[in-house]
Parts: sequence; structure tokens; C-alpha cells
Amino acid sequence: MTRDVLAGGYWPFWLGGMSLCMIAATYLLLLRRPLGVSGFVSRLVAKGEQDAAVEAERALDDHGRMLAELKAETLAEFGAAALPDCDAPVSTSTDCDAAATDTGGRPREQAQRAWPWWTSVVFLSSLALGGFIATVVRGAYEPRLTLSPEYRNLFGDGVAAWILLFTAGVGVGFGTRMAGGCTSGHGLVGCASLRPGSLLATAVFFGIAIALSLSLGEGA
Amino acid sequence: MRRVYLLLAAFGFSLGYSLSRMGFTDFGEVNRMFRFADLRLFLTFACGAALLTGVMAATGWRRRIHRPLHKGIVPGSCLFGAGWAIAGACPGVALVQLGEGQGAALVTFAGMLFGTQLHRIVNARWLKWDRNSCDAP
Repeated sequence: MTRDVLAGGYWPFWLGGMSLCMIAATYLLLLRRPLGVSGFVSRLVAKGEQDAAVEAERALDDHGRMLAELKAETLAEFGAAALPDCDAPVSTSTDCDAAATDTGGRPREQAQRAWPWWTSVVFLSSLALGGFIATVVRGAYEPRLTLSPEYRNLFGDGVAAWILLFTAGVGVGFGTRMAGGCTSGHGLVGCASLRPGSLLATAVFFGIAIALSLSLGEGA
Repeated sequence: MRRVYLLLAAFGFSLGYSLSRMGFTDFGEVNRMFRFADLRLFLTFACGAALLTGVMAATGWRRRIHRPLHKGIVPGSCLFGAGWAIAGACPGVALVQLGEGQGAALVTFAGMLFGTQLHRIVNARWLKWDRNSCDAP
């Protein structure tokens, strides 16, 4: 099996499984939010709203900072007695523990700072770069504009096949946003967290994909 | 913020590299997975999920992820599953395929962008379903 791996064959299941787990786990550890690719795609497309969200948070930051400074100066000048009773700390930290109650009922995990549009660009292009290097390193890089042989077996080579491919992409884009996640977000991280929403989503999308593939068969 | 960008680049690269080396970007492999003709990819996914489940339980991170049930899950997953079976690509995979030189992924990815945008419009104007996500609608 090691020879397989070294020779450039596809990874055995344990190696793939370990890398998926490690990537998802360290991502969660270091970035403090769950890995989810469709979210990046969504934020890529929603550039306007994403920028607005980032701006709004920045404004809140300044407001928060201003309040904090006012508070400090009031304290210094007049002593603690002068401060109003409300104890809500004005937090500008990225850890939203303090702001948990301000999330309007949103789960704490997701009440985090909006990521600017460039994060999507960086992450998504890195995905592509990873694929590029993986292929080049094995000497298998040959850019081509053809459909894969198995696809052609099932759907042919004509214009209809290409339109079908586009439509399938639309289904993926639309469906992942409607469901709120994809294979990584719901399938990997969501299921690993044993979350009902993700378990259901994963069961459904895998189930449908399996049923459809079985009924399509192998084609010609 | 620079730290976030560096990390995202590193993670994106690792994920892309891994997906490619696993064969998740190969339509044939994915199709065989769905038809149970070859269990390798299935086991890969199951193994990853199982290991991660252990990690999440052991570290207590499990409690920090919230994915409540909402209306869009079933219909959305149906569409996604169908699209995935036909295109052989989920969102991340399409990008990795682009990197690998699979030009057809341009069409797949264009469809995904279109579908994402379409959902934003449809959801904002007609459906108005709350996806329990903090992302821009």
C-alpha cells in the first residue's frame, strides 16, 4: 500500500480519513469556527453584503472603544459611584463570550466577526492551488477542456452534456445554500458534532446522490 | 487578520491537496462511491467523520457547533445531492478540479456561483427562510 501511495495512486481510506480529520480539527482549533466550503462560496458571491457587515462591525468597534474610554475616564474622574449600574462589558474582542446575549438568539459559535470578502478569495484559490501542486508533483498535470470518460459514458459529449453539467452546478450552489452547508460543513464537521441538522442533511444528500447514481448506472 | 489569511491559505491548500490525492476530484471515483462499486472513498469519508467525532467529543468542541433543523435542509440537500451525483463535484471539489487542470470544472463552478446567487435572490424575495447562519443572506 505504501508503494501505491508513493507511486502516486489514490490515497488509501485511512490516510484520506486522517487528513480530513486533522484539517477540520486544526481549522476549528486555530480559527475557532467550523470548516465549511459552501460558506466561502456564498461570501464570495455576496461581496456587497459581506463588505457591509464588516463595515458595520468596524463601526461598532469604534463605538465600543469610545464607550470604553468614556467609562474609564468617568471612573478616573468621579469614581465608581458615578458609573451606571449596567454591567455589560463593552467588548471588542473576537471571542464573543461577553456578547453572547447580544446575538439576538443566534448560537454563540456563529456570532463571530464577519470575514471580509478576501478571505473567500484566499481560501478558494488555495484549494485550487492545492489541487494544482498535487497534480504537478505527480507529473500528471495536463490542462484540458474535456469531460471525464465516465461522465461521457453516462451523458455523452454533446452540448446537452455541458448544459447538464452547468445545471448540476446550479443545483449544488442553490442546494448547499438552502441547506446551509455542504460535504465539509454538514457532512464532516456537522455530523462529527452529532448535530441533528447536519445528520439529516448528510443523510439526505448522500441518499439522493446514491439513489440517482444507482439508477443512472454505468451508462454506455 | 493577517494570521487568518495565512491560516486560510494553509488550510485551503491542505484540503485541496488532500482532496486531489484522495481522488475526490475524479468523477469516476465519486460515481463509483455513490454506486457502491468501490468503497474506498466512502470509507475515507466515514473514517474522517468517525475520527473527527472522537476528537469533537474528547475536546468538548462538539457543543460549540450549532446546526439546528430548519426548513431548507431537506429540499436543499436534495438539490445538492442530485447536483453532486451528476457533476461529480461538491463546492470545494470543483475548485480543486480547476487547479488540477480540469477545464470542465469552469462550467461546474460557474453553475455553482449562479446557483448560489440565485438562492440569495429567491430566498430574499420569496422564501425568506432563515438558515440560521450569520452569513450575509
